[in-house]
Parts: sequence; C-alpha cells; structure tokens
Amino acid sequence: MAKKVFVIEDDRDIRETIVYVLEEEGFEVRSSESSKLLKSVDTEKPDIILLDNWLTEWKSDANGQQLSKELKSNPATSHIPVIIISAVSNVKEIAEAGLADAFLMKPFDVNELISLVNKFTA
Amino acid sequence: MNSQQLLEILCLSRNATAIYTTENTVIEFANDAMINFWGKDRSVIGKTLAEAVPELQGQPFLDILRNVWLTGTTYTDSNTPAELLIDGKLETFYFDFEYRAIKHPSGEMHCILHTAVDVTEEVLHQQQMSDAQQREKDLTDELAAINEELSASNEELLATNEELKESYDNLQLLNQSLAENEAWFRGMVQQAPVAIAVLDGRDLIIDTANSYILDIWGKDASVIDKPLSVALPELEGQPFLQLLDDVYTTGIPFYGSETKASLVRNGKLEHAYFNFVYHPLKDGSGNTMSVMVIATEVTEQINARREIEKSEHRLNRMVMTSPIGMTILKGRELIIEIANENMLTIWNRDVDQVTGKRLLEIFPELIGQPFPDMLQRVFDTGQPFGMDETTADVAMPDGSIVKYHLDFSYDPLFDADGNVEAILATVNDITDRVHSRRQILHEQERGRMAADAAQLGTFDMDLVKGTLDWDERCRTLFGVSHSNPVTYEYDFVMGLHPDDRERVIQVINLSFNKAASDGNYDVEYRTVGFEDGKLRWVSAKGKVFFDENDKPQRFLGIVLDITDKKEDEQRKNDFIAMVSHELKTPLTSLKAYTQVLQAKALKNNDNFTAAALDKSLLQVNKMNTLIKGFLDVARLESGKINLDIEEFNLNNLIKEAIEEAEITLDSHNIVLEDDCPVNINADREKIGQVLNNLISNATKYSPRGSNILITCQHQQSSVLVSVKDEGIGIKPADMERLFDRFYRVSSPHTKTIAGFGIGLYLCSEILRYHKGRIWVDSEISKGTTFSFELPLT
Repeated sequence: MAKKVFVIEDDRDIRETIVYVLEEEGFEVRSSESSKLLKSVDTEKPDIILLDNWLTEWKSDANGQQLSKELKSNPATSHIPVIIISAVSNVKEIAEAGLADAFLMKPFDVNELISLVNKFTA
Repeated sequence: MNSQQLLEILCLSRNATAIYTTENTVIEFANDAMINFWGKDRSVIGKTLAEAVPELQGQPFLDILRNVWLTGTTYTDSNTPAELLIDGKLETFYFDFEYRAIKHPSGEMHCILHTAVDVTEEVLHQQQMSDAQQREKDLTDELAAINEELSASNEELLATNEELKESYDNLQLLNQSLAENEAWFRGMVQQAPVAIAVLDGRDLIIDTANSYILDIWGKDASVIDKPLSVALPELEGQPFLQLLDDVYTTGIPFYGSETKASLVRNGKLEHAYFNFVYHPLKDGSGNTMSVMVIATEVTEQINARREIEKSEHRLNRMVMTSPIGMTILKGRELIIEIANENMLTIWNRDVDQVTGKRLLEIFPELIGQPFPDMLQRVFDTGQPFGMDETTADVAMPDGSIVKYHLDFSYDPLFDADGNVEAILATVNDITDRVHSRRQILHEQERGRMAADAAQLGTFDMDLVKGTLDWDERCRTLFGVSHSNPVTYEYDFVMGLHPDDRERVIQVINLSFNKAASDGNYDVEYRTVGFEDGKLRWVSAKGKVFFDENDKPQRFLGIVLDITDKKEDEQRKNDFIAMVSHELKTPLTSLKAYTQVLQAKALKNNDNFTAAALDKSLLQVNKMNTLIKGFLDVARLESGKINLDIEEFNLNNLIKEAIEEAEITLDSHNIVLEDDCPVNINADREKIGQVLNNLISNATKYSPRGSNILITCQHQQSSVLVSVKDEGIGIKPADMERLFDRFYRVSSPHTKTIAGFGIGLYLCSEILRYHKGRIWVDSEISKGTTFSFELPLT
C-alpha cells in the first residue's frame, strides 16, 4: 500500500511540482495551500507531513514552526514525521525549535526531497 | 616710739598711706607710695586733697571722705577704679582702700587714716582670667573664695579694732598724754590692713605682731616675746633671718618683692610669696633698736598670674598649633594680637607684618566687605558668629586680589565685666575644596548632559540602605510619572515583562557576585509601563561596587530606550524573511520544474535537452548563491548571524569544497598541498562558505589552466588555511579595502568578472564571528594568497 504524504504549501507551482514528483515516486499525496488540511490528520493518518513554514494565511506571522510543535507534542500525532520547508537561511533552527524531523531549504533539490521522504517513510 | 618715728615708718611703707584732717580733707601726711599713686610730689602736703589731686573732682572719693569726717564712720572698699593723672595722662587704677575714722577719746574726729593698695594688676589679672574663658572659671571661684576669706578677716579685724578701741579708750584714761602716741602707734599697727611685726634686738624678739602677720606665719599670739627663729623654726635655712640680721646690723632697710617663703601653716609646710619691707627702727642716737616687718602676701596674685600665663599660653598654643587659621583680634580696633601659621598663609603675610597692627590697616580691602561689621556685631552682642562657604577678597602684598572660599567663626572673648574684649577668629580655607566640588558638579553636570543627550536614564541602588533611585528618564521607561521613592521589589521587578523577569533577576544576581562578573551588568529586557501599560525595550548597563569583603554596596547604571531599535530590527527581520520568501519561491519552482524536465529528458535519451537543463540548473544555483549572499549581509547588519558550532574535520571540509568547485569548473588545477587532519569546533556551513568563496575568487582572477594551491597548517593554538593563485594580483591600494562591503577592484581585467563585492566582506565577518582573522598577500602579475586563521579552542 502506498505511503500517504500531506503537502502544505501555498505556492501553487511548488505544490504541484512536489505532488508530481512524489506521485511519480509512487506516494499517495494529499496537498493543500492551507493548514486546514491538518484537521484531517486523525482520519487520513498521513505517513509524513511536508509543511511550508510561511503560509499566506498567516500573513507576516511565520508559524509553521508552531504548527509542527503542536503536532509533535500531541501523542496522537507525534509519531508522524514532519519536514519543514522554508526559504529562510535559518530554516534549520526553525525546524529544530518546531521539533520537526527534517527541513528542506528552498530552492531545494528534487532528489533531496525524494530521498528525505523515502527515508522517513521507510 | 614717737609719732615722728611712726610717720617715718609710714613714709617707708610700700602701702600707700595718707592722713587727712578737717572736713576739707587737708593732707597732713602722705607717704611716697600714696604720692606715687596720685602721680604728684611732696608739695601736696598741707593742701586739700581736692587741690592736690584735682582729677578726683567728679569722682566719688572727696564726698566719701567728707562723709567719713562728718559721720565718724570708717569706709572700706575694694577693686575700686580711680582715674588719676599720671604724666599728664588720665589712667584708670584699681584700689583696695580704707578711709579709717580716727577719733579723740572724746569722740571728736582726730584724723582720717587713708590706706590704699593698688590692685590694678590683680584686677586686670582677674579680667584676663575671665578672658581665658571657662578654664579660668575655677580659678575665679577660688579667688572669690579668697575674697570671702579676706572680707571675713576684715570683719575680724573690725571686731578686733572695736576691742582695741575699747582698750585704747581705757588706756587713754590712764595715760592721757604720753601713752597716746604709743597706743596710737600700736593701734595703727593693729589697724593697718597689712601684716606688721616689730622684732626687738639682734635676737629678733617678737615685740608686736598684728593678726595679719600672725595669719601669714600661721601662728597665734603665743609667739609674742619669742625670738623669731624660735617662733618660726622653719625659717632656718631660708634667707630671711640673715636678711633681718643685716638690717639690724647695718641699719639699711631691705625690700623684698614676690619672694618665696616656706612657712608651717595649719600644720604643714606651705610655700607662699610676699612683698615685704624690713625696716630698722632707731633710737635717738641712730642705733637700730628693732626691725619692723611689713609684709603683703601675694601668693594668690602670683598663682593667679601664673595660672593666667599658663592659660594664656594654652590659648596661644591652641591658636598657634591649630591646623586651621586662627587669630585673636583685640578690641574694636581689631588689633591682631596673635595669628597662627595657617592664618598667615591665608593672609600671605609674615608674623611681623601683622602682629600688633590693626586688621583693617593691613587689609584695607576688607573695608566694604561684610567682615568688619560682623566683627563689630560680635562686640555688640557678645554672640559668636560664623558662616560657611563665604568668599573673601584678600589683597596680596603685590596688590593682586585673591578670592578665598572660607568657613569662619568669630568667638567673643570676655573680660571680667562680661564685655567682649577680643575676638578669636577661626578661618578655614576651603578654596580648594570648593573648587574641586565645583569641578565635580561641573563633571556631574556634563555627565548629566551627556546622559541627557544620549537619552540615557540612570539608576542608583544603595545595597546597604536598600534604596533605589531612578531619574526621570528611567522612570519613564517603567511608565512611572510620579517622583515618589521607588523600590527594587515593587517598581523594578514588577515593572519587568513577565517573560523577562526571571532572566533579568538572574543577570543581576550574577552582577552581585564579584568573582563571577566583576560587577558588570549588561542586559536587555522589556518593561510594561505601570501607568500606561506600554511595552518598552530597555538596554541596561551598570556596575556593582563592592566593599573590601566583596560584598556589593552600590549598583549604578544607565538605561536606554531601545524600543525603536528593536522595532526596526523586527521590521528588518520581517523584511529579510519576506525577501527570502519572495525571491526564492519562484526559484524553487523553477528549479523543481527543471529537475523534473531533466529527469524526463534523460528517460527519453534526449541528451541535448538534458545538457541544456543542466546549464539552467547551474544558473538557478548561481542565482540562489547571490540571493543568499545578500540575505547574509542583511542578517549580518542586524547582528542576526548565529553560529551553529559543531566539531568537524577541517581536511574533509576542504576536500568537499575542492570537489564542489571541480564539479562546476574544470578550468583550473586545484591542489591540496599540505593537509592537516585536525578537528575544529566551528560553523561547518559558514567555514565552507568561506572556502567556496576563496576558491571561486581564485578561479575568477587567475588564467585558465593555472594552479590553485590550498594549504592547511596545524599551528599551536590555531589552524591556518591558505588559498594561493597564480593570477593578476591585487594593487596595494585595493588590498586595504578588499574586505569592505560592496568593494570591488576596478580594472580592465575585472570588468567582465561577475560579483557584488560582498563575498570577502562575508568571509571576514564569518571569521570575525569565529574570533579568527583573514588577510591577503599579493603581488601584481604573480598571484594572490588569501589566508585565514581559526582558533582551535
């Protein structure tokens, strides 16, 4: 059975590319431009979550880190790997503070994306 | 003895004596001592006293004498001032005197016996004693006691006189005529208010001794008829017996002044001082029959004088040794009696230039200044007067005026009558102190102005008293508008933002630990205004001062409102994040699409497309590097560079950097010459960035096919990495500015070379953050070597 990936990324082009690449790799991908997708975590039970750190809905308040922290602090969801994606150069710190399992700095390498997702869903 | 002899004796007596008759006070007799008092000569005998001593007119004496004559009542007084014309000058003398009414047995007045002792000196002594303030009070009391004793003895004397008069009256009945003179003489001896004794023969048998001399001797009447040497055995070994014998044998009187005698009185040997006369009494043929002794004890006066001298000496010593300026100004004339060294220093005068001179004569510049009036007021009121920190202009001998800052006090010195006789002026020159305090105030003012200009608030915490002082600006930072006292617990701690409270208290406690912090305090925190609820950012710096036991005593410092700076910082960070996002987002999708396309092309064996997309990817990466560089600079400017320190192998990092360069460039021959397999603690990514930058620069500025040599040397406490090229080299003028931001070397060679001039600036900043350094050696047309050094710890 294919692994299920949640992709939350507000830039349509980036989101579509990620979805395309991961589907090519055989993943089942659910994607959204909004964090509302996370409301279905309990029912959908994704195997991994890719989370953009700065979503348009948050305006200037970059808070992917906070979202990740909530997921990782909740016993029901803490087992789900979270990868934070961001353009800021301190993405590593943001990911660590958000208790995320890994990070990808934009512009990321497609091969790196594939290998990270593979690694955390193996 | 006849009356002529008696008059002779009275003539010689040092006690002034005169005899007056009639209501008009005709001078029947006056001895030299009395004539001296009057300042006249023997021609006054036979004149009325008013004629002889006209200056007595207007003084009470003539009336008193007339009254004595008319009433037959003896008049006695002491310490009485009398104005007498001496050498044409009217002078004041003080006398103890008696106008004794001597009557005929019939009760009619016979004559007035006037005896007087000049006590001017004693009175003046007494006055001086009063001047010598409290210390002399005891002495004055003692003198008063003695005076009491004296008046008691006077009373005794009067009683005795009464008795004598009775016996005299009885005697008169028996021997009306002849015995009259003898009795009169004895009466005179007994009545004389001085000690008199008559010693008969060479054995000095005591023939007559009045109560005064018995008192002096400390004996009673039982000594009468005994030889002096038996009556007063203690005289053995003292000069008096010999002196008396000399008077007896030579017939020449002897006068003694303030002579010390040791006498057994009240059962113990006492030392006393006397003025005395040994006068030979001769018979009709000129042979000395007996010696008359007239003595006045002056022990008290001498002691008093010594005491006064001692206390005067003490006062003078006190003045002279005082560490501050002191002078005694006598009388309203302000005569400088004495001035100590410090006073002379202030005056800039020698002791001889001022002593005995009038103050205002030496310092006329004081006229018009308030001091003369103040001094006169002390004379008027008898109240001490003083002022702190007043100024006085004093003229120096060269005429220049020096302005002194002084503390001074004027203390009155009183005479016996309670009048101010002199002023003890105490002057402390505080000019230096005032100047230095002004200097400090000036500095403080400057400090305050500087703090004000820098918009700094200040706080000052007294850790001993537990008080806290905030200036207005500091209060503003905590949203406090009142000026009431503030406390550490309620105003400071509670004014801190709850999220910062614990951290700031920790920092303060660390500052209070001398060993840990040396008292330095440097912290940023947020406050929530008490009154306005406003959030403010504060940068606080301070210093804790410790006592010798390293216990904190005082905590001083400044606070600065950095709210605007913090808000700017936040805006800048937001902007950087926004730019990162906005620039990198299109690049991200571009790169992803390119990679997807490339994968498809490779799958379809479309090698041309794959190679073209490869080049596109290279450009995307280049673009990304440029954006990253800009963002790094922006972050540097806002101090937002955080080092991610980890331990790694430097050799491996260098090798990776070389490999990465070789992937993109095959134009140069990059060689790692020396390697150093050392592990260092640093930010791996950023040191990698430095290496990439240096290698990239080397390839840009050196010809294709040339060598780039990389060396790594492990030194004692650091590691040294060099990147050497065989390129065009750098001019010395450029080398200095090479590491400046946005600096680009401009030359025909470099025009075509891409870059913004931020690479080396970033490298130097990264090394600075690592406490390392970077530098360059270069030679035109030969090549350039960039080196950097990283500390190993």
